Amino acid sequence: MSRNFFRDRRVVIFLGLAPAVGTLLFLFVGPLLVALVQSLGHAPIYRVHRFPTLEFHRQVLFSTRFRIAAVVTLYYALVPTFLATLLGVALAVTFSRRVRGKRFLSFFFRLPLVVPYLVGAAMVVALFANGGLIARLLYAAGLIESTGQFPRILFSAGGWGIMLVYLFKQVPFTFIIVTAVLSGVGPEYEEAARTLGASRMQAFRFVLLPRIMPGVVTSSLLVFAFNFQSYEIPYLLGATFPATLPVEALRRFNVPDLTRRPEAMAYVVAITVISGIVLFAYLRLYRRWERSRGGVG
Amino acid sequence: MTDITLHGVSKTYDMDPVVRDLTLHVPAGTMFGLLGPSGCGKTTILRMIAGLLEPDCGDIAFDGVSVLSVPTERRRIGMVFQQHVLFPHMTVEENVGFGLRMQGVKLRQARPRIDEVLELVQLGGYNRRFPGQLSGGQQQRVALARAVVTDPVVLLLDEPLSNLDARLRDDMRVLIRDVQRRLGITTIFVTHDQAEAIELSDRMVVLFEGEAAQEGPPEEVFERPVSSRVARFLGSTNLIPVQVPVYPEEGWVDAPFGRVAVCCGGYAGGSVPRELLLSVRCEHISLHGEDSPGTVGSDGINTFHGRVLDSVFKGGLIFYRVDLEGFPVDVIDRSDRQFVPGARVVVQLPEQHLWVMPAVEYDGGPV
Amino acid sequence: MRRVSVTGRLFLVVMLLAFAFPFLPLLVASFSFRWHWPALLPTQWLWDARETTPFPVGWDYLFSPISGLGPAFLNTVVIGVVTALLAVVLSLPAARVLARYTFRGKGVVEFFLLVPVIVPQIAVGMGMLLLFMRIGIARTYVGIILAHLVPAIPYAVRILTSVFQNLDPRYEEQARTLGSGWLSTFRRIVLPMVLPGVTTAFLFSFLISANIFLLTFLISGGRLQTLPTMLFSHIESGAPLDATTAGLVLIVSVPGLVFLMISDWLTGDHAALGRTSFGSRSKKERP
Repeated sequence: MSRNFFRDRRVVIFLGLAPAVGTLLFLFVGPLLVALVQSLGHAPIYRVHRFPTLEFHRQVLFSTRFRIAAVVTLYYALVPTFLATLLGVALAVTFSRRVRGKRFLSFFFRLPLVVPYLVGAAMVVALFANGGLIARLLYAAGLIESTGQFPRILFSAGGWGIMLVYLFKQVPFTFIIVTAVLSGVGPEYEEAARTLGASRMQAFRFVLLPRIMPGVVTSSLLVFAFNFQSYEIPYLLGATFPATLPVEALRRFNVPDLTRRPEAMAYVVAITVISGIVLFAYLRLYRRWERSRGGVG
Repeated sequence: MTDITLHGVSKTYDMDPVVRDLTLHVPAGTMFGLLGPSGCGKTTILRMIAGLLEPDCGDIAFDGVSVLSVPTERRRIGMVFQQHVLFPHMTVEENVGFGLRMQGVKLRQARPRIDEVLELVQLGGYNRRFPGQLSGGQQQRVALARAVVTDPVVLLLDEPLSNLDARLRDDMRVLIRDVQRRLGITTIFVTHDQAEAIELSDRMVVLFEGEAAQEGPPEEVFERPVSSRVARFLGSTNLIPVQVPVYPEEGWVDAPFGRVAVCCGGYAGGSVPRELLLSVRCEHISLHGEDSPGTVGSDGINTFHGRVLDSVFKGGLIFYRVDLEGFPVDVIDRSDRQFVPGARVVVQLPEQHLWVMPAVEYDGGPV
Repeated sequence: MRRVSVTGRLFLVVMLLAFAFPFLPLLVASFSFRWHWPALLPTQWLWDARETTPFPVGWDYLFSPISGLGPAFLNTVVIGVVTALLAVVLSLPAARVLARYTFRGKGVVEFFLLVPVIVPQIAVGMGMLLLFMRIGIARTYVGIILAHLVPAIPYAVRILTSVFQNLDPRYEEQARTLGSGWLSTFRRIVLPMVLPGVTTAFLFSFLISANIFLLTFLISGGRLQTLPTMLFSHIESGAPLDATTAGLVLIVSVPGLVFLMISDWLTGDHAALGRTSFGSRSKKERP
C-alpha cells in the first residue's frame, strides 16, 4: 500500500474512529439489537420462534403492573433530578464566591461522586432504617419509644430512601458540572450586571442562569437518564410492590421459565424507549425556550 | 456632578497588601487616570469604588457621603470592564437596555434612550446584533453605551483600550474623551499605558505597589517626576546623574559632560543632597548641526557638543542616541533634517524643562 | 470575587454535613461488635469481643480469607486497569480525529460515542449477557472487561477530545518539517504533551470500572466478585449498622478517595473533574 493511502483525509478519519466506534457497535448496539429482536419473539435457544410479533410488548404494556411500575419509576427519577439540579446549582453558585477553605470543602463536595451508588445505599440504611441512627437519636430525644414508631423511609412506596441516595450522589454531580461551566463564565458577567444596577437575584436570573443553562440541562439530563434505569438502589431500598421498571425487568429475566425471557426483553426495550422519549422531549423543550430568547449569537 | 474621595483605603489579599493607606481626591467632572505597572493595585482600587470589593479599612465617599454600606447596584456607577463583558446571550439593545430594565423600564419604553446612547457611541442601527457579530472596537463601544445609559454619577473604565489594536485605540480614545465631556461625568480610568494617561486624563496618579507615588495634572507628572522610579516608569526621559559642585552655586550642577544650569528641583526643603538626578524628557532636547548658521552658539548656556550614535525613523519622529563625552543621551526630534550616525551636533538642554531630584530613594518611596 | 453571604455559608456547611457526615456512623459501626437498639454508640466494641467469640467479626472477618475480600479487591483492580487501558487506547485515535477534523456526519459520530451513557445499562447488560453466552465469554474476565468498556469509552473519548483540542497541531507540523516520521512525532512530541490528559482519562476510566455494579452483576452471574457486587450482597443480607457491611463500604470508597487525591494533586484545580464529564467545552482563563 502506498504512503499516500494513509495521507488521505478520509482514511485518517475512518481509521481513527474505527476502534472506538467499532467496539461500541459490537458491545453497545449488538446487545441492544439482541434485546430488541428477542422482545419481538426471536429466541431460538428458548424455543421461541415467533418473530416478528408484538405480543410480548402488548402483554407487558397493557399490564397494570407495568403501568404502576412506570409511574413509580418516573416519580423516583424526576423528583431527585429536580431537587439535585436545584441544590447543585445553588451549591455551585455559592461556592463560586470567595469562600474560606475552598479546597477542603471541594474535596467533600466531590466525595459522593467518586464512590459507588451502593455506598450511598449503605449510608441511607445506616441512618434511616427503623433501627438506624436517626431513629436512635429520636429515641434519645424522647420523640419515639420503639422502632415501629419511626416513619418508614426505606422499603416503602414513597421511595424516600431511593431518592436520598440519588440526591447524595447527584447534588455533587450537578455541582461539579455547573462549577466547571461557571469557571468558564468567570465572575465578570455577574459583576457587570451588578454595576448596571441588578440585584444579586436579578444578576443570577438574567445573566448567570442563561450562561450556565447548557451545563444545567446536560447534568439534569444525565441525572434523569441514570435514575430511570438504576437497578440496585430501588432493588435494595424500594418496596417489593410497587417496584421500578428495571427491578421488574430483572425479576422476569431471572424466572426459571426461560420462555418468558422475551417478556423481560420487552421490559428493557420499554425502559429504553420511555427514557429516550423523556430525554428527547426535554431537549426539544429546552431548544424551543432557547430559540424563544433569540438564541445565542 | 460628583466628586470622589478615598481616605486611608487599604486592601490585602492573602496577607499580600495590594492597596496601602491610599488617600485620593477625584474632583467632580474630571477625567482621572490611575496609572501604574501591572499588579500595582489600580484595578483593585476601581473595584472598591464600584463596590465589587470591600476595603479592609478606610473610607470611600461620593460627594462627601460614605458609600461603603451601599451595594454595587445602588451606587449609581457605570463600569466598562477590560474584556467588555457584554452578555453574549443578549442583543446589543438588550445589553444597553439592561441597566434600565433593572430599574423596571420596559424595553419598548427604553428604546429612545438606547438609540440615543448608541448614537452617542456611533453605533446607531446596531440594535439587533449580537455581541459575537461585532468587531472588538464595536463591542467596546457597546460596553461604554451600556455603562452610561442609566446616567450614572461616576464612570469607571478598566483598561478600556488595552484589547484594541493601535488604530482603533486612537478612535476609542477620542470617543471616550468626547462622551465624558458631553456628559460631564466624573470618570476614573485605569491604564498601564503612559501615552493613554497623558492624552486622556485631566488629573492622574502614578501607583506603585498600592501606594500613590505622585498625583497631579499629567503635564506636571511627566515633566516633574518626584522620583527616578516615576521618571523611569513614565519613560522617554533621560536620567543624568549630577552632583552639586564642591563650591555650591545657586542653580548649577555638574553633569558628566559639563556644568548645567537648572531652575527647579523636586526635593523638599532641608539640606540638598550632593548626589542628584537630572531628568529631561527626550522630546525637550533640541539638536543643531555644528556648522549650521543661526543656531545657538556653542558657548551658549546648556549647550554641549556631541556625536550621533544612532538614529531611527518612527512615525514622523526621529529617535537619536547622542554621545556627550562618553554619556549617552536620548533625543526625540520632530524637525525634517536628519543627522546620520557619526555627525557632530550641538545638543541643547532647555533650562525650563530640566528637573532635579534626589538620586537615592528612601524606603523605596519618593522623598 | 464577591465574598459568600451568611446564608451562603450556612448552606455550604449544611451540604458539607450531608456529604461528609454519613461516613462517620459507618466508621464507628465498622469497629463495633454489638450495637443494640437504641444505643447511640456500639454496646460492645470489636476489640472487647475478640477473645470471647470463636468467629472473626467486622474488620477481622473482612481481612480473613473466608470473606473473599482479597479476590474481590484483586478482581476490581485487574478489571479496572485493563478496562482503563483498553478504553484509553481505543479512544485516543477517535479523540484526535474529533478534535482535529470536521467531516460529514461528525455530529452523528459524536452523538453515538456519547449515547451509551444515557441508554439504560440494564437493556445493554441483558442483551450483552445473551450475546456473551453465545460466544462463550459470559462469566469471564474478558466478558466483564468488555462490558465495562461500554460506559468507559464515552468518558475517555470526551476527556481525550478536549486534550487534543488544547494541543496545537502546529507542534506536530513543526516536528514533521524537522524530518520526524509520524511514529516518532507521536512518540516524541504528541505523547509527552498529552500525557497528563491521558493519565486523567485512564484514572477516570478506572474509577468508572471500579464503581460499576449492574453490568458486573449480570455478566459475572455471581461467579466473579468485585467490590461493588460484594457490597451489594452484604447490604442485601445485613442489618443496619452491621460491622462487616460498614467496613466494606469504607474499603469500596478507597478507589474514589485515591482518585480524588491524585486528580487534585495532578491539576491543583477543583473544577477539573467537572470538565472531564460533559460539562463546559473549554475554560476561558480569567485575567
